Amino acid sequence: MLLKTRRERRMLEAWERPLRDRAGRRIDPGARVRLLHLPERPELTVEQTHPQWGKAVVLVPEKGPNAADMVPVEWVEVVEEAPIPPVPVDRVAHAERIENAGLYWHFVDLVWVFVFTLMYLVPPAVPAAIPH
Amino acid sequence: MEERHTGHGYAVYGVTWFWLLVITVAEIWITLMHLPRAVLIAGLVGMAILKAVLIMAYFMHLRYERPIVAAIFSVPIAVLLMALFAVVGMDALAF
Repeated sequence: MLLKTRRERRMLEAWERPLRDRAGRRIDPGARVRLLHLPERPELTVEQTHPQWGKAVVLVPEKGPNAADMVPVEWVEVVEEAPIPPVPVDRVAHAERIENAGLYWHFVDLVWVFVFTLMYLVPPAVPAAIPH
Repeated sequence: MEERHTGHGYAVYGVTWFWLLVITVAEIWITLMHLPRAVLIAGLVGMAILKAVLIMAYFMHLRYERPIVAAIFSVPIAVLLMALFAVVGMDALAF
């Protein structure tokens, strides 16, 4: 994947950098996490979602996605490990970018087919003026 | 996005390139044949259009698209040709 902007690079780094809780344990996407700073809400669990959240995770209750919220990752600890999902590579977008570059290349090619014919092959109607 | 079956490998690009090269050599050849000017220009423009059709059909995959895509694409190409002949072409033919 072509990562041109600083924001895209940062997002990929956020994907690759594992989040860790205060005890240093890895927080993988889908891991069950206990919230440390809200002991009055023990029914809430925490899941890491998208790297655009940065150093935060999304709170989801045990039953249903209500009351979603963001908390700093230092406020949680891992309760149950989760398998690490692969980093998604958008192969369709990658292929389309290559295809678009090729289409642009051949569009310029088309223009030059006619420019070459008209400017270099068609002989002048009158001989070029001889400079004096 | 629907799946498209092109049904060919990379060989078709080599064959297309070869025929574009053949047409280019033919274009240069007929300029050296002392043909009448109208015949020469008609031949050159006809071969250029043939090259453009080959490029659009194989390099730009229009042969493997649905016909509506080729119809949509042909409109800006026609505008491009008219602009080229109106601006560059007149200069090339007059001087």
